[in-house]
Amino acid sequence: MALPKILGSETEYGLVVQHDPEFDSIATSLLLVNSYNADQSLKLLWDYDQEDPLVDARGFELDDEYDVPDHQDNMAINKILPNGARFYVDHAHPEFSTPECSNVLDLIRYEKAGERILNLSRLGANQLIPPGRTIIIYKNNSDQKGNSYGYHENYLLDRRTPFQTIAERFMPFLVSRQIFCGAGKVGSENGTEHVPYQISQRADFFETEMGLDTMVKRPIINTRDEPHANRDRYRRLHVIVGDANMSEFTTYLKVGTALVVLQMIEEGFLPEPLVLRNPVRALRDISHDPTCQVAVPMKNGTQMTAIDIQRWYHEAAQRYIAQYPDCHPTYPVVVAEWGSVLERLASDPMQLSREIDWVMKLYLLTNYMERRGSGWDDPRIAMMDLQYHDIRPEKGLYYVLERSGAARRMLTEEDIVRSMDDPPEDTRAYFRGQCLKKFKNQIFGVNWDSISFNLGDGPIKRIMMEEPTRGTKRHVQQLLDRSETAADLVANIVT
Amino acid sequence: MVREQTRAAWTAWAGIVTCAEGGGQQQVRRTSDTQTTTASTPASNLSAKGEKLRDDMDALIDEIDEVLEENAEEFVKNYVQRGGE
Repeated sequence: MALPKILGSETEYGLVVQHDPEFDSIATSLLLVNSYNADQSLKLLWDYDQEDPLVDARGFELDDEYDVPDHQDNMAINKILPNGARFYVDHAHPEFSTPECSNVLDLIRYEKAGERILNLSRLGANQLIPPGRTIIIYKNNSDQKGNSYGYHENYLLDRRTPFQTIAERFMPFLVSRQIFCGAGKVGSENGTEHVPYQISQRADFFETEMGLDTMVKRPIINTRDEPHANRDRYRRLHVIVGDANMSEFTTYLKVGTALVVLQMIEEGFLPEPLVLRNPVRALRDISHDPTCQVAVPMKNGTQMTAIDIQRWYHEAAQRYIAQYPDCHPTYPVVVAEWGSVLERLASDPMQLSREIDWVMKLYLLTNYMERRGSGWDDPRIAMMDLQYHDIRPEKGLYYVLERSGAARRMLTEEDIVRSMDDPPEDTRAYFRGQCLKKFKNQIFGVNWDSISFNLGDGPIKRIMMEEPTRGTKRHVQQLLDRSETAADLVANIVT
Repeated sequence: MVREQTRAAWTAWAGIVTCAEGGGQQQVRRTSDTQTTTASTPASNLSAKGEKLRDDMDALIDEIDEVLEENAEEFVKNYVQRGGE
């Protein structure tokens, strides 16, 4: 059996300050990150000693500079939250990384909690800028002017599975899955052929099949080899090709299906892989066709639609859950939903107007144009395309749909609200989060796989957490209960 | 060849949207949060259901107009981001 799949997502948010055309995006991001539950007495560092973003999974290391910020900047740009998440400034964007999760349902509640946290930061930061101005935040991936910002998924895999095997077998899945997880976009950019509307926000920006880059020459398969865990045992697959989704169901299906496919790849369950003749071209052609009918050339000379490719993976997944009834309990439900969505995409994608972001948006836009007698060149259509992703509950069009019952939900508000403060109980995020709640004034630095304490005298004590499945509530609750102070905790761990 | 197919699909696409909007022959009906089934609806109910759907959509579109940012053209033009990741 494969190792348990630990996962997380990173969302970079777009932002604008209304009535301030000269706004500084880095300063605004800093203001946001420091406006959430601002406890200025906290002096937490992000521990850059543990970072290795230039190591390539294909077995080499990039010879380049990697800037580590000084202490003051480090504290200003990094916030580690009691739910185990990291909220920080990445280049010119605020970014939210979920804590490590053990399953897809946890992932969506933490990702949604991230939207609420960003909105609270926004409300706080708005108090600190000149009156009349408002910060607006978007969970999307493009400014429609050729600039893209990312949404990254992370899946912990067994180091023993060769990277080349993962890359080959995952590639056609990633290229075709956008038909059920695209966020939708009006128009095209980055020099691609004009279309009025396309499935994915990101597809226009991918230019190579494989590589280490994330900002230029973006690769479909990213080779960053930085496991944030025991390097001998794990690799972390860093998936950069997806869109940030507003719809809970869309996120559920995007991440849930990826988990099932990766599990099959690791266990050698997939038959001989499908091979696309030109994955980069296929990614764009599939995105540019909202009927989901376009066929893309395969290396063996045949042509397949994205639905055909997905059905190939889905059929394997059905065999997998039949053969392994004791697989993760979320898998059979994911596979059933996946099949139902593929059927509806094949007969009429518009049937998914409550479930899949790109269809929800398209349905809204076409109905709007019909009622207002306008077309794709109506500036209000471009505005709606952007405002669908506005994270303000009162203004965001996704939230308008959600309130009117036009969005299929997977979570309750209570699920989301408690995830803003409480870490997952079954990964190492539990230990991180509980330490932040109990010993926050004695924590010196944090990274995904370590936490260090400043006990006042003597050296900094760093506790390594190289095993993401340990540090759970079951493992550490007793330890936390019997440790009054951080010094107790360190003593209790060492002895 | 692929390009041609993409264009052909776009031409057909307008019809797909209109067909789905009125309710059509097939109604997607939610039975629970994790299950969706497709069932045919008796013809007598179709027009009433179609009308209800249209009213709901009319109300939704009116609400969109209320919340949509003013000066849409200017707003979208000013939305420029630096790259990230």
